[in-house]
Amino acid sequence: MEILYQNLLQITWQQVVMWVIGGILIFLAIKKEMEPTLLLPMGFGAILVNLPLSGAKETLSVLFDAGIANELFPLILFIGIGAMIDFTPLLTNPKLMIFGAAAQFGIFFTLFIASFFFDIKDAASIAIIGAADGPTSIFVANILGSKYLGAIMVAAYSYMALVPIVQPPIIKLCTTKKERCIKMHVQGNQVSKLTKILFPIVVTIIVGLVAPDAVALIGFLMFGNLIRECGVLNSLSETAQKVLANLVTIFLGITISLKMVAEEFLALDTLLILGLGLIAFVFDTFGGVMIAKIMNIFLPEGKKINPMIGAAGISAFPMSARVVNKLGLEEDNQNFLLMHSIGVNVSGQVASVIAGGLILNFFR
Amino acid sequence: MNFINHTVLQAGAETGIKFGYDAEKFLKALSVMGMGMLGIFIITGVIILSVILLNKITSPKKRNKNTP
Repeated sequence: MEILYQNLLQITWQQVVMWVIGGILIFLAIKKEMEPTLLLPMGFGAILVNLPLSGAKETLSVLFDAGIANELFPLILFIGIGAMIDFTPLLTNPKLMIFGAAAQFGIFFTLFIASFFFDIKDAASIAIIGAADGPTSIFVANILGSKYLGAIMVAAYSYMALVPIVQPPIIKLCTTKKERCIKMHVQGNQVSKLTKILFPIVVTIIVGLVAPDAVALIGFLMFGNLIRECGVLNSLSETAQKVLANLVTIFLGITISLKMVAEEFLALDTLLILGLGLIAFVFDTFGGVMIAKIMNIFLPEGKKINPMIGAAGISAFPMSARVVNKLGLEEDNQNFLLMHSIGVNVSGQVASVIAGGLILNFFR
Repeated sequence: MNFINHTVLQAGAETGIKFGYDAEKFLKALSVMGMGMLGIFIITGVIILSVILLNKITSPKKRNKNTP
């Protein structure tokens, strides 16, 4: 008889708290549709690993060693992400990449702030939340040996889902109504198929030469993109975008929950990491907007940039681009910023990988 | 911090937070911030120039006015 209830006696209140947290993540995923592909597996996994003497930990450890400890899952996922991205809006107007670069300011600013609270490698791992890119965050945090992987992932994916809530107030605070109403003309330049094919190769070589630790990240991303753009591998492209990406996402989400064991997760550190993650996103937005405002000082009337598009440089694709477009339409219902904001948004994906590679260069 | 550790933080692991000013860490973080942003802009600049060059090289040549 005792065998039926002895496990119940092992339940701790900390585990119950984690069940609640898991439930909240599942609720946010289903009811609010916030990044359901990751939050739901993470939420359920948090419940799995926080049951007393949970047998799931062993299986998840196998998956963790197979795919996350060696950074394999995030890299394979990047193939799928690369295959999904259309860089045409960026190739039409490559200067938009400046905003993608500026929107990584939050990463480095957060690193500086986090260094007051954590040792420098942990600070760097936490700062990479600002990359707004799950695979990059996992990759960098894992290589730097951070013990905060669970908190970092929860923060990264939660804030990515909260972009429509986090970004607008920051954008409005940093811009005037007149600036938000600036109209930008769509450039009608055509991009050749050869450019679309050479772009992933050229970017991989440039980034790889400067930041060798980023070769895997940028390489897998651009490999996916090359499969898409080459025109002769349509079935592989489709597989990468759908089946491969979905398969890896399933494993990634539930495996990350291994780091959400109550003993590791319920700490003041986790709260602080969540706070620092928010700072990273806020200053990413700030950085992107401010670079546009600075550029406008030198640009003549008629050629000014709507500074809101700078905020789309955060790598949360395509949500950030849509947020900026929506804000533009709110100010002036004839002001369509989507083409520009999408171009900036995809450049943010590349820039976040570059930032991740530079962080590894500095601290590995 | 010890008070927090022993009371509020009975929930989980001992905190890894080490709040304080460390001149060496401060300067290292500041230099990484500066070099990181500079690095991103430089690499981005090179990529922008490469794309502009690619677009110029691969764009269809404009017809000469005299060509029928």
